[in-house]
Amino acid sequence: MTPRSVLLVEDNVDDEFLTRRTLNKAGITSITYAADGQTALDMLLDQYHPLPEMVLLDLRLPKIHGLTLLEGLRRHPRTISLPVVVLSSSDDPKDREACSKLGALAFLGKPLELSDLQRVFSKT
Amino acid sequence: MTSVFIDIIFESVHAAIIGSIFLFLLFQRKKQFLSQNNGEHFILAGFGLLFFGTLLDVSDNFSRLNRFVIIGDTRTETFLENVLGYTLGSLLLAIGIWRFLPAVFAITKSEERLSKILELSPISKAIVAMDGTIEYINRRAIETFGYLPEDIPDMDHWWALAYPDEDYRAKVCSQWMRLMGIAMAGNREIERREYLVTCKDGTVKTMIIFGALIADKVFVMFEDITERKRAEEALQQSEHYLQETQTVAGLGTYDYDLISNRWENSAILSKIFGIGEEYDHTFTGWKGLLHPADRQMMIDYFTNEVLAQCGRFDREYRIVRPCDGLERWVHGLGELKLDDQGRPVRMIGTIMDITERKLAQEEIRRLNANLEILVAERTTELVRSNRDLASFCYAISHELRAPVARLRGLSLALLEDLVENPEAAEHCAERIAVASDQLQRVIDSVLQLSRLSQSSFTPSLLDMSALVEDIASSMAKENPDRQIELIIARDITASGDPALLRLCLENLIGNAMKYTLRQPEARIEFGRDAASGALFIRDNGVGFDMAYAEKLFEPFIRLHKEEEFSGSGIGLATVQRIIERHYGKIWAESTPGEGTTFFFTLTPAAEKTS
Repeated sequence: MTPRSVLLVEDNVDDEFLTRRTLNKAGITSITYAADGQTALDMLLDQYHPLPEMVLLDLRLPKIHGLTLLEGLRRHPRTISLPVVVLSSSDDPKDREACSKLGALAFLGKPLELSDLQRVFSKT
Repeated sequence: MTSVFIDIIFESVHAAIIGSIFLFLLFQRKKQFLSQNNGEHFILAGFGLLFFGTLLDVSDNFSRLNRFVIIGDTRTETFLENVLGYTLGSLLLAIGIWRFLPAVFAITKSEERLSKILELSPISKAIVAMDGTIEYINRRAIETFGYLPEDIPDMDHWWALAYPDEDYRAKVCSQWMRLMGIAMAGNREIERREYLVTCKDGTVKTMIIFGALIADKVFVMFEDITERKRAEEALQQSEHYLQETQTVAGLGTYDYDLISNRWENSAILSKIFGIGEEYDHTFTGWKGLLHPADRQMMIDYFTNEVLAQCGRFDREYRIVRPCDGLERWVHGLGELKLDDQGRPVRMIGTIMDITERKLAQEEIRRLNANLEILVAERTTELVRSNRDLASFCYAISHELRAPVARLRGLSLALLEDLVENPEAAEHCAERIAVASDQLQRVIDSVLQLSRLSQSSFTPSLLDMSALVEDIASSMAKENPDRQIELIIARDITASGDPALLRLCLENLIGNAMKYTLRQPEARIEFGRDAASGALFIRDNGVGFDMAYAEKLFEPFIRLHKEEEFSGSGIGLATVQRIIERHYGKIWAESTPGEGTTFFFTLTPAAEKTS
């Protein structure tokens, strides 16, 4: 099932541009955007701000690392079951493992491929 | 008539002979030898009466003298001559000789004995007449010196042979004469003196020569002390050697009498202990010498291990010398002497100063300990550097993969949009150029960082102020549109590698330039912090949250959005590595919106403000 709204957490403009492009191709137009971990956390924990249906999360982020952010989300009741897809160019199995432990929906490589995204959506 | 003359002559000659004997004996009375004999008076009286008889006998030839009654040719005269003179005289003479004979035999015997004693005496002896004639030398003297009596008939020959060296001979002669003079004037004994006598075979013997004046003769005695002298010298020599070697070895000796609780020690031991004669040479005194830290241990050792078990003393311990209060290391060795019941009564041993050796050992131990610490430090450093490398590899792989992935994404997008959406395609192409620039920058700085750890380190004294000035002004020139105020403290010098410190300052000043980009009145400052003594680069740029200060120097960690402030992500990691190579430290203080200060130190010794 394709989410209606997505929060994209990404500090690099080109990556943001490319990910948005793929999301658009998948038919998602409601995309909010955070450039660093702290901003993303603030947005997600702000109760006056509607929660997105899915978060696309880069790992190497300024201020708060992606994994730390994910850990924080899993602790908070509001975001404990929020679907998170990790987007990373890392090929480190440790990163993949850590994400899976923290309940990430998927660990996708960059640049984001439409087919990968759709496969994830089909699982939800 | 002729017969009367002959008679007178004969009787006169007779009277003269007897008279001479009488007068001779009368004169000789003064001499000791005769006066000691009992028969002397009788002999003298006998000869006196015989002389009287002979005189009367002469007078009977002159009848004219008859009027004197007792002389002349009278009966009284004949009676006196025969009875008083000859008969009584002969009688007294006979008695005298009778009494005198044993004495004569005794003298002969005693002379024989004396000559035997002289001959067989184990001491060399000689008898010298006052005129210097050597009358006698005994067998021992002949054996000792090798000179026969005919070799040395007098003192001149003796002196010439016995003292061939002229100077020495002159000395000996004058000394002998002086002693003779004293003897003659005083107690008649010639004092003992040492002389070096040359024997017939050329050997030189040390003799003590002395003597006595007896009846106008000089009795000279020789005592051969050559062997004694040689032994004494050898003993002295060996004692000297012993002392010398002990001094050289720093080896003192002691003899401790356990019964009287007194120890004697050699001069060297006094020196080692730094004590004088007056020092308390008892067990208490020894305890007093011990270093306080070793005292109880040494007392226990001596009491429990040496005395109680009759063991050998063998220990290295410290003392504090009373003379100068210096701490010295000594090695004590000692053997106990036991009495019949097996109880220790005495201890004899040596004590050696081993301070120098001990200090050398300590030094080696210290160096070893230091070496171990150094090895541990290096190992820790190595482990850390390995860990750093691992995390660096992780970081770099991501840092390289990310732009490559980006370039791939952008290239695919470009391909898609190329025909349908040329504007979007153009954007993609532009971004591809930017992304490849970034990739280029990352690769360059990674290479730079890797070269950094291999580059040689040649420190020299640098004018840091001038270096900062040079870098900052050239960077300012590259950005002519920007307004940058440079405040650079003068005359700050530091010792370091010129190339590395330039790279370090380029990074720090470059950061300052970058983060003051949005500041209309940018200010970059270089100086020395009065409080910490560290050098600093200060800017009035965007600053950062101090919560992230620790992450600042990790490679590829960004506190700002990549787009805002471009950079390789390893600039500060490079700076930190350079400062570490200078054994310095780097840290930052910042307030968001107000600016950042990077403080750094170089080796304390290398740092200097002129």
